[in-house]
Amino acid sequence: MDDRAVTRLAVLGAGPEAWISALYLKRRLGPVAPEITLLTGNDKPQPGALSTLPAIRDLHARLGLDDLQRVAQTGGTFKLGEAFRDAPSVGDAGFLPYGEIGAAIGPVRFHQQLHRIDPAAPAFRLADYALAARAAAEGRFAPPSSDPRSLLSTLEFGLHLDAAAYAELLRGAAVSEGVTALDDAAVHLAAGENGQIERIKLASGASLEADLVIDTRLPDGKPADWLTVPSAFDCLVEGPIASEDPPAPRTLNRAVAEGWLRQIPLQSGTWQQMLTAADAATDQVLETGFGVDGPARRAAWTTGRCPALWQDNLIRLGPAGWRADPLAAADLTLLGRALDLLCAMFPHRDEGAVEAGEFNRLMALEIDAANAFAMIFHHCQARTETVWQAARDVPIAEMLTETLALFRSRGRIGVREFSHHDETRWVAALLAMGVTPEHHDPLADSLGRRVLTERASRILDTVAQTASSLPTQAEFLSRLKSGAPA
Amino acid sequence: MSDNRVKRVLIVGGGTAGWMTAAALSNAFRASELRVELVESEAIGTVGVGESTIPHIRYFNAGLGIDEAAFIAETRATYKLAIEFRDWNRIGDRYMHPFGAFGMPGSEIGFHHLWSRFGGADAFGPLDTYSLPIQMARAGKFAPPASDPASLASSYSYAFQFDAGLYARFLRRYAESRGVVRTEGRIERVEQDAESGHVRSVTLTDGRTCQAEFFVDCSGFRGLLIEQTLQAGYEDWSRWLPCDRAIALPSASTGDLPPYTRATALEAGWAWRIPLQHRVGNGHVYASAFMDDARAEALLREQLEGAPLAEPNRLRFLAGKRQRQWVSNCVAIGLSSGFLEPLESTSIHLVQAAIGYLLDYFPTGSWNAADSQAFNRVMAMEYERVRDFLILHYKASERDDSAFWSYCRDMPVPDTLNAKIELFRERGLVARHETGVFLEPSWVAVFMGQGITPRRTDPRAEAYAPAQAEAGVRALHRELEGLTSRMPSHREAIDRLLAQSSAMGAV
Repeated sequence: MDDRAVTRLAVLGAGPEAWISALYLKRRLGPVAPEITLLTGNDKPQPGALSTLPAIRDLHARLGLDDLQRVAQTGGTFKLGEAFRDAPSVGDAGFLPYGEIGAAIGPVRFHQQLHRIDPAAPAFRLADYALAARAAAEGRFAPPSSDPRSLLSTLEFGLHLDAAAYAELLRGAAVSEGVTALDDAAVHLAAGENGQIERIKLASGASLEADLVIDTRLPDGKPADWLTVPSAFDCLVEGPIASEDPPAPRTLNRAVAEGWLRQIPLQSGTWQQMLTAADAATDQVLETGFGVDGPARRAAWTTGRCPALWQDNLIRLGPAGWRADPLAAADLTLLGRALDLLCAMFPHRDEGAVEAGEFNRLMALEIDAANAFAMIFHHCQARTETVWQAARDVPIAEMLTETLALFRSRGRIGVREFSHHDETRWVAALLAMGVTPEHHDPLADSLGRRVLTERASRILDTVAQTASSLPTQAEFLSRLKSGAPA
Repeated sequence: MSDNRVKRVLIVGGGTAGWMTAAALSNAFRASELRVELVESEAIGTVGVGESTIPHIRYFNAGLGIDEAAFIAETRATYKLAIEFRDWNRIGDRYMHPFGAFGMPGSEIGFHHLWSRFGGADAFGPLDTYSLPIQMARAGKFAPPASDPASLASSYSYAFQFDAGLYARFLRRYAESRGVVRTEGRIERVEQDAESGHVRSVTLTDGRTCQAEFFVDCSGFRGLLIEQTLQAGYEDWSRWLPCDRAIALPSASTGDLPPYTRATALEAGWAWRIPLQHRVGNGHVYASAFMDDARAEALLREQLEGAPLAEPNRLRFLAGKRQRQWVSNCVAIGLSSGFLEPLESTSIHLVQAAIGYLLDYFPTGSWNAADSQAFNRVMAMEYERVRDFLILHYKASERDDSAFWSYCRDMPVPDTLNAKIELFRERGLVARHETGVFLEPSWVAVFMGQGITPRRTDPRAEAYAPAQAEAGVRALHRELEGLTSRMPSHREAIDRLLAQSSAMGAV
């Protein structure tokens, strides 16, 4: 073994991010993984729910958690996309589906074909051509097929997870992989002469030596040095609400006069997050979180990130490093990305400055792109209430300004580095929010309207037939839980 | 709705860039009413330096539906697996930049980490030994890569070395058969709209006028539309890439048919050798501030392996790019858009990239600045990333035998490149980008080839016991040698393909 090897890693935190970090590094670094000790003491993860992107499945594969049965047993549900209600305007409904939408013809994207058929058709019709949207509307779910001839192979899905049960599942997996958990709290990170943390003083009076420290704990309030994303919403009120019955396989974003109500369906009930402005909501709304059962949890909200996630031998991940916009649903995707990078550029003891620089550069791009994407929903709405007007007027990321100009002109997204989502999802999000192109791509002029119309209606039929052939999510979940093959 | 459409595109200038653009547009818009025209003059020579390419050219040809055998027959092409760099780090050194990664495919740890960690050149010989395309290149062999991604025989890609003049002619036939109208003539005047500044038409010396709604400037270095008319401005990169002249001189084949291009560093620049079926392309790129033209020609002649076949063709250029490559209703493609020396065979690739992005952002006629901005942003990125890669070859050299090399070693380089060098020197990592033609294996090959070896290697390499690592490396070497020895020679591969192509032609 190299005498500069990192042999002792401390992870601070008790939430899913702490367990994922420990488990990921233990598994992925394999024989060269350091001893990993989790200090769960001074982190009290709050109950709540996580709504994730389809990238969660890659992360779970790396964690060895790819069987859906275990997800079902923790009370989670499946997510085929994000639904929007009363946005962009009151009375509107939109859907951002996961997976493919329609089918491109050579370089001509599907939404360009629809625009060529009928430029006046309502923009949100695009989602009708996605299996995910149709299945979600009917409350149906099945995992994607591996047969490329089946429309079911075009499906992708994320997960809705109960944070506490999920953390328990991760804890079990991490401990069985040899991660040590100490119910002790870090009270002081003692640095040596070179500025690197050498020892963690614990609440119990003991101390823990570490070559590398990963902090995942939620900081108290907003750390002064964070780079924040301007927003009209500064307050998050959350708690459980009466559940939909049965739970739908999608996250619902309802726009109300005071802000967003984000509803994440779990098996046991729905978790609601209200993203609002403290001065836009009445005390009563803030107290009750717009219908939360029991006491609502209220906290100031800022989207932002720590300017340097990795400093010396301290790496801040998850809540300690960033807060992605709730509508980005990106927290675990970003964590997976960070851990992937960390494995590829795992440092040596006392040496890791160039690794830190490259890691910080890439993660800044990733986090900013996730937040720029979520800004579509805050910016591109047409509601008239004061807080929504303010949300529209907030300065947006340059990346989004350029994307909007390109898209409004001819429905194109363009080439972007680190754009967080693929082109299809950007297009679907923009169309779901009623942003429509003035013209279509001239490449679509090569295709005849009649042929395109017939093809589109065939796709619509196939989508409807396939969706109705799927089990309902409730059926699928009970089949999983009973141990029957999915 | 159709009123906003661009109905006519005029490409100004033939040559490789002009005909590649014409071919691609005529194919992409084959069923639409878009009219593609091209004006060129046989009296104006084309540069045609870009005879060596990178693997992306295959996707361009495939996109046009061009059959590889027909292409090889028509353009007198040879296969290319790598570029050999001679005398770059020190006189007497040589290394190859292959089209493929070192080691086994699919490994999470870069092979250079394992090689460095367990003894490097002392224990295992040069890193070059562990690349299939390099072994094939050195042995003068060629076979297409296997399709199974887990197989070592899939661990490379290939490009071509071809006669750019013949390629332009080949594409001209392709484009003309798809409706592209060619006008022979010299342009005398360019007319602009008084209000918008848009180019409206060009007038030829004989008085004829060609009108269009959109123009592609393929007029070469001078940039007839983009610079002389629209004044895009030029970003000068010569402080990093001081070479500003080239002499090209073809020579007779000597019997060998190496499946690679060679770039030999000389006193104030470098010489290329590009083997084609029927001749060898040679040239010398040099910095006039450090060498006069006569000396440059003499050095080039020393490099020739066969008899010269023509008079030398001299070129002048300035490394850099147009500040904006798309201005109002005109986009510059090829030498009109900028110039980067052909050290890594990127000229044709930059043409191809510009065509691809032009199709991505093709205008309809209701002008939107977003299209040109997006195009200019992404093309600037493509140019800058190639630029940094080229500068690396000069900067990372220990040569001190001439004023030119001392200048290069001491020159400050762009921050983006400095950061990349530091990251590799310290930890063997290649900074990640999503855009840019050269990926990790290319950077690793040049870093290692130019003597930048990582101070620290990937800790995951420690998972292997030294004996196990050594056995793995030796087994890899045996497999490489076995695969190479079973392949036909490059000459056989070409001959077989030509026989097949003429047989198909006879049907």
